[in-house]
Amino acid sequence: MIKKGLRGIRSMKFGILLLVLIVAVSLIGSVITQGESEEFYLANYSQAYLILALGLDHVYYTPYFLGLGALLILNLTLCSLVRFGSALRAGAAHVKAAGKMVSGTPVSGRQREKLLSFLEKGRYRRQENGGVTVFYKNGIGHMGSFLVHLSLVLILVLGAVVLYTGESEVYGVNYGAPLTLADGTVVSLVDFTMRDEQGNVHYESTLTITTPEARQITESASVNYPINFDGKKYFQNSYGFSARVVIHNTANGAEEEVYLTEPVFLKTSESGAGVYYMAACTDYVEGPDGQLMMRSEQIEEGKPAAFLLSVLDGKAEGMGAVLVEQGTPVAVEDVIFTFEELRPYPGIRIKATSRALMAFLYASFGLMIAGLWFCFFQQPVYITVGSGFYRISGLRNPEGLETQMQLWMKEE
Amino acid sequence: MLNIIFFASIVCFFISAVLQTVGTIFKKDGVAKAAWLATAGSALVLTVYLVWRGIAAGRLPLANQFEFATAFAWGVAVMTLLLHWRMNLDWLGTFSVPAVFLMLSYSALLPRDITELMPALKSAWFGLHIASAVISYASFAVASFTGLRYLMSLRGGAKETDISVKKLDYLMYRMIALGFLFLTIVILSGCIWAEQAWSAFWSWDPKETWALITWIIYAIYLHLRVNKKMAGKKMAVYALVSMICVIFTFVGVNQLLPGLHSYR
Repeated sequence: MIKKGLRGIRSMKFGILLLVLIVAVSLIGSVITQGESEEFYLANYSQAYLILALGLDHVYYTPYFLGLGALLILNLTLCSLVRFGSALRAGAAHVKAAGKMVSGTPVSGRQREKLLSFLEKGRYRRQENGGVTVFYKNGIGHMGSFLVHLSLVLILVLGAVVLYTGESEVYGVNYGAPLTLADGTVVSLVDFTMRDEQGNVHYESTLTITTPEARQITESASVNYPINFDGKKYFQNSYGFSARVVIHNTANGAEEEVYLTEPVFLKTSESGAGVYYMAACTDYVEGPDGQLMMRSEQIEEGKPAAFLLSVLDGKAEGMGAVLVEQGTPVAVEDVIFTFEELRPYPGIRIKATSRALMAFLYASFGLMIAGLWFCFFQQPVYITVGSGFYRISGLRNPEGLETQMQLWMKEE
Repeated sequence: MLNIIFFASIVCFFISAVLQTVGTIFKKDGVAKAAWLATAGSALVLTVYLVWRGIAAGRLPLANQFEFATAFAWGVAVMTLLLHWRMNLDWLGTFSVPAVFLMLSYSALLPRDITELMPALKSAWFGLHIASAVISYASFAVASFTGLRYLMSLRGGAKETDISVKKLDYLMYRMIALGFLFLTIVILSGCIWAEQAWSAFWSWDPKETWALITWIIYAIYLHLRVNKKMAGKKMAVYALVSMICVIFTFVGVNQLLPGLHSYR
């Protein structure tokens, strides 16, 4: 019973069924937008409830799709195990079978000589077997199918391991606010640019990375060129805008610069005075009373910004929200806050994956290409040459070689 | 000047297509010979165009839908000429040369401006990934033409057991195997590239998903052909229908399912 079940699971029919189901689910996943909010599906799809109930909004992560993948891995593994033995034995078995051939296409003595020179030129290996000689080559072709299946299993398994065991997270890295990772590595932003020298869009972050052992590098990360350092990869992932604020204390002359990315209360004293920063925008207009009004929270690179603030003097209530243009000083007690401009900062994806794992994964890629090459372009061929005949075996389509040999034998 | 060469190549392929068709229908050897000479000349004009464009752009001319479609047409033309030269496949031009003309006509509808390579495409993997896709798609296209020829031969009274018909079946299988090998290179090189560019090997982008669907469809063909020894009419229909998937991956996904690969 178990044997029968295993035979069913490793069968080609079952494998093809799984592939068809994977195609069907992938097709659905490519047509329905993935990973959006529930509201998005309710607004855009008439069958939203069905989509949400079946998990078609995140179909590639549903238990049934992952289950199909797991079954495919099982199917391929069992299939590879069975193939391995037969693939190893196939070469010898074919030579043995070819050695037992007693008849084939008749050839004269002269033609036989020419045929032997053809086989010699073609670098065929030879084995005497009783009264006949077996010429053979491309024995590696027997391993092709096994290697392809094995590499596919490795790619699926290692890919899943990389996906689920690797650490990968996006961090906003702002000027003057170094990021400290869990292992003590410190990442600080040196520079972030959004355009290259010609003015084309090109996001590039220059980072200084310091390990807990005080090893340090300063390098740039951009698309296709992540920073690879100390077992981690640093990818340029996204960007945001932060408000650059210069805080000048007139009482003691101290001045500092801070970058704000979210609402924050900048306190001036214990009395509760300060500036509450709420948001920034570049889409604003001047109202009839001369006051600025925000039209949307949209931020466009390079446009002058305005900042939504609430100023609290510590005595009366706050003066309500006001929109101030960049560069406008806002004084509270002895402190002058100047919201200078919006400055872009990068989102950096930091990924830690085992190097050995990656090496194995890439090796599996290579193995698959090699396997396919062996499978389709290194077809094993066995030619039995007896006294007065020859016979080709092993090839899926021997006509081409047959014609080539015939032409060779005809040539004077 | 580049535009003139491009449109000249379209006109040349149109003339070649007419000659190929006339040569086949009326079985005129002289016309057929002229058709192949015209096809070779047309391919040469298109090669000059692509090389010139590549020099003008300072990169491989494979960066957007127009350039890929043109390169795809060039791939089919070159593969057709190679197969004709190596295997004397006279019939192939009747199918593939009009198809090349249609592909170039489609290209002509797309924006032809030479643009700076976008940052995501500035990678060492660019050439291998896209050039493999050109070879893969061209192989699948030739396989589908072979399937069509196979079906027409049967309609014309030939039998599946005839050597000439068997050879068509085998050629179809070999072209699919070649296309499959290169599609695998496309997918795997794409995985490595995606990891460098976007930090993930696979992100279920529509183009990736459809490349995988195409890969699976042809994997099923190869399993049926090699392991189940299925050949003949059914497999010829299979090869033809599978080409729809290739065309959708190439054209449909870019137009209908935008994603990370929407380089229009």
